[in-house]
Amino acid sequence: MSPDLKRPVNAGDQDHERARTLAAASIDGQLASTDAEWLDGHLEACPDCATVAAEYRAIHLELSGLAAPQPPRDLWARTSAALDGIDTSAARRHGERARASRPSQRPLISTAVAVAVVVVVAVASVVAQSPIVNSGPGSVHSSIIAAGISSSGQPSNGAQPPLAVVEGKTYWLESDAGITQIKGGTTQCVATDGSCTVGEGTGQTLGSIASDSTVSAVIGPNAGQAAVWSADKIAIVPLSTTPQTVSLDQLTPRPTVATTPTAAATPATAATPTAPGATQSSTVAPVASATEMASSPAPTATLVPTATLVPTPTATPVPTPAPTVASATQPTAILSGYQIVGRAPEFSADGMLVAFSARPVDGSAGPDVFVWRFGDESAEPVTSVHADLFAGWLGEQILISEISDHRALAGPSASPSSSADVGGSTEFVSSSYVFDPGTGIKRTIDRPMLLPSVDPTGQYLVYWSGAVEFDPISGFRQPGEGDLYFDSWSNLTFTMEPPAPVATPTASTEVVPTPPVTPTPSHTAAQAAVQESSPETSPNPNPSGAVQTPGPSTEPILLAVADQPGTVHDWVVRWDTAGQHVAIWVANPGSDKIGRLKLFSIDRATGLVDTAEKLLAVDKVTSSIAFDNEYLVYTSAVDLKIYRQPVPAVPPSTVATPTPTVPGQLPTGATGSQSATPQASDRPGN
Amino acid sequence: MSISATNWQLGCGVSAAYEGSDRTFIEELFALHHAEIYAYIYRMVRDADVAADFAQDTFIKAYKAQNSLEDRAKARAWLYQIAHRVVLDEMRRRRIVRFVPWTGESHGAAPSAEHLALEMRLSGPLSRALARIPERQRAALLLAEVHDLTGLELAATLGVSHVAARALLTRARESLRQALADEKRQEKDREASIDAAFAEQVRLADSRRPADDDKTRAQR
Repeated sequence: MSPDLKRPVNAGDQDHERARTLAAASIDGQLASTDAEWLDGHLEACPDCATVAAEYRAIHLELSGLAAPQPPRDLWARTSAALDGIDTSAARRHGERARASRPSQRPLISTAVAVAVVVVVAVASVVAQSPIVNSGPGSVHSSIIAAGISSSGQPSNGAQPPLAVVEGKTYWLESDAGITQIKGGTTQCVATDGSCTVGEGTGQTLGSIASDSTVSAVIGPNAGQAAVWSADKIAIVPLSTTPQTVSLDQLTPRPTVATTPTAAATPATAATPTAPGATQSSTVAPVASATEMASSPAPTATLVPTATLVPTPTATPVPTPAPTVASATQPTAILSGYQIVGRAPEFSADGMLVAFSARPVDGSAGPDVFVWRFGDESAEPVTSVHADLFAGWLGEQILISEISDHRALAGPSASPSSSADVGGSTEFVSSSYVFDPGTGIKRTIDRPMLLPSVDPTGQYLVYWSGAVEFDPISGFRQPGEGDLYFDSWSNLTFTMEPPAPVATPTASTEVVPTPPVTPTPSHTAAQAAVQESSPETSPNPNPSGAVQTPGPSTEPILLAVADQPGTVHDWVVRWDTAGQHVAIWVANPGSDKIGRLKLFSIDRATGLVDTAEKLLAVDKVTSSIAFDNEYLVYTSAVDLKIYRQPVPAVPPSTVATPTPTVPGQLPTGATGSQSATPQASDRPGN
Repeated sequence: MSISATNWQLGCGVSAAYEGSDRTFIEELFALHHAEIYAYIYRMVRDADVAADFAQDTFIKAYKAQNSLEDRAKARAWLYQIAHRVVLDEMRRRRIVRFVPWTGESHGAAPSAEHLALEMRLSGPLSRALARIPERQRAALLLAEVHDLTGLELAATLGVSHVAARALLTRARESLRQALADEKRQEKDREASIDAAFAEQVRLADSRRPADDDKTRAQR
């Protein structure tokens, strides 16, 4: 029986209470000597108080031995994701404040994971980036790949921006009560104004995904399968008219049995051993690379790419086997514990491969590019530098952009302008390369660019060039001041690198047989070292140091798509199948989902894009844009209607030849403030 | 995935991505203290899912309020202070004491064997007694006895003076002592009643045995 402290208090009780208080206090530390002596004396005389004191000590020991519960394994992942959300909000607020004070500064890009409303994001199509396919309407390669994002926690009502538009059929996402459905239906269009409606509860359900988090999706060719992803998982889900609901959160990647091509694969093609230096082209070879070759021990054979590796300026497409589109039959989680970074995943033209960039959800590493091959149980990384972004497919090769730390390049002997401008702060440079997942061969484009998009014929490309910034608030590296440029693929030069296991900085330089150009130095550490050793032979065509722009002699054409030069920070590029038109969506300042859409025509005879006369310029458009045969399909953010804009044929000789544009300047005829064309005057938002 | 056309989460590792930012500080705090913070919260709420939520909230609030931390050497006590407020505020808001079953089972999921084993250790008389004392007293005891906060840290965490904290701790010990005595008494009573029931069953069984034996003999 424990002593009861709730008895009536008298003088004796006061002593007992004092004794028990002191006994409790003695657990924490030493009592004053007078209190300790008094307590000892009292406990000797009072068995009840001595019992209480003993119980206090017993409780103290027992509490110390309490079992420690282990935190859940995903505690960091969920906390980190929540912190990311805070960073995103802060970045957005920071951007708004910055814009308020400096109107010309570009806004920061939101990376919100939780989306309150259904938003659709389009990415470049497979067709648009396949240099070896020039299929006519109706072929499998006319399939358009797009990505959509749907909040699983918010029911979606009303018309939905399309996930994809293929042959008049529209695909979109609907989400309700944690179930995201991929739906398809025929687009209903009004002849008078070209507006179309889709969604609104109609359509056929082709896929059903259950998840507690936001679900995004891209549709594969022929809508036979979709790549879906949440905050920490990527899966392949078959699409059918009788879909089973797939619990994305429960899918677990299994070990891959089949061999997946990675950078470690043995070069199988285009690896012709030659003597070092033998591949020096009769045209111009970069001095820096040539020096590097001379100084390189060349432990491996110099690699000479074959024509199939390089999209050539020839108009004849490389014939391909009859297209057979692969489709998954079972839902397969191909990567878990990673989040998609950069562009949305994208199927290859035949549906056999899916490529994407992702990083661990705990933020322990930067993004790498992964490839999943049909039949494999999991996606495998093909890069390992933790700074790579998937830009798009290039036939069976992959365009990858890499953002590296400029400090590695700005050594004491580096370009004075470059190092002076760096001023000790971190600068990032963006480079891009063509990667062959079958051989592991990497060909770096000798020109700074980010996320290039190549037209279906492989002759032209649009890329972003500018200053990559590190935002300390969000902790993200992202485009700073920059613009989009149009260029011919033939103007590019490449630096060949063997597969990763071969330990050599770079093997050789390969130059596409094109008119002589002055390439910018490759932004590899090895080449930087060469530049440091012989700066006089490697003039820096990038005098600003921070802002990377293409060299003027390569004549890239600035695409004036934003309100002001240097303000392109988020964009989508689409090509029609003939490579005669390119549609470009650019996010408006302060927005990450509403922007301006412009349509340009390309004179394939001259290889130039008409920047002075836009065929279409529409404001307040969502990023979900796509070509569907002779139409450009976009969604107005004003009325959420889908509009189909007929794309006019391009007369071969009527396109004005624009003045080659020096990067950083607007082209002739273009102004900083661009107005809508008459064709678009009846569109909402103008 | 971003709702923008491109998700620019290009952070290349914690140190590189958050160089110079306070995100690194919070990440370090998490690495050092998340286990004990979670344990404290779990001992307060006795529900793994809720504890995880509260632990996450703790580090989020810490991230937002890190400017209020004047001395980073005192970050641990500061974290406990935040966790304590999160727990008390949320417990009051959710009235979680009434809703959370003391069996410790997670909502909607069968407990694992590991979890059950842990619960066996945590749900003894001491833990049940801890659950019966007032929240602030329980917090004081856990912080001082289990998580080894000093007197000053305890006072700061509880938001009271040093003297008040010690008084609270003293009351907590006495409350726990009585609650534990009560728990043990109840446990003893339960064991006694079980013993009595068992004895009664044995007595009944014994009383039936002769008749059974007679019946068996008759069948022979």
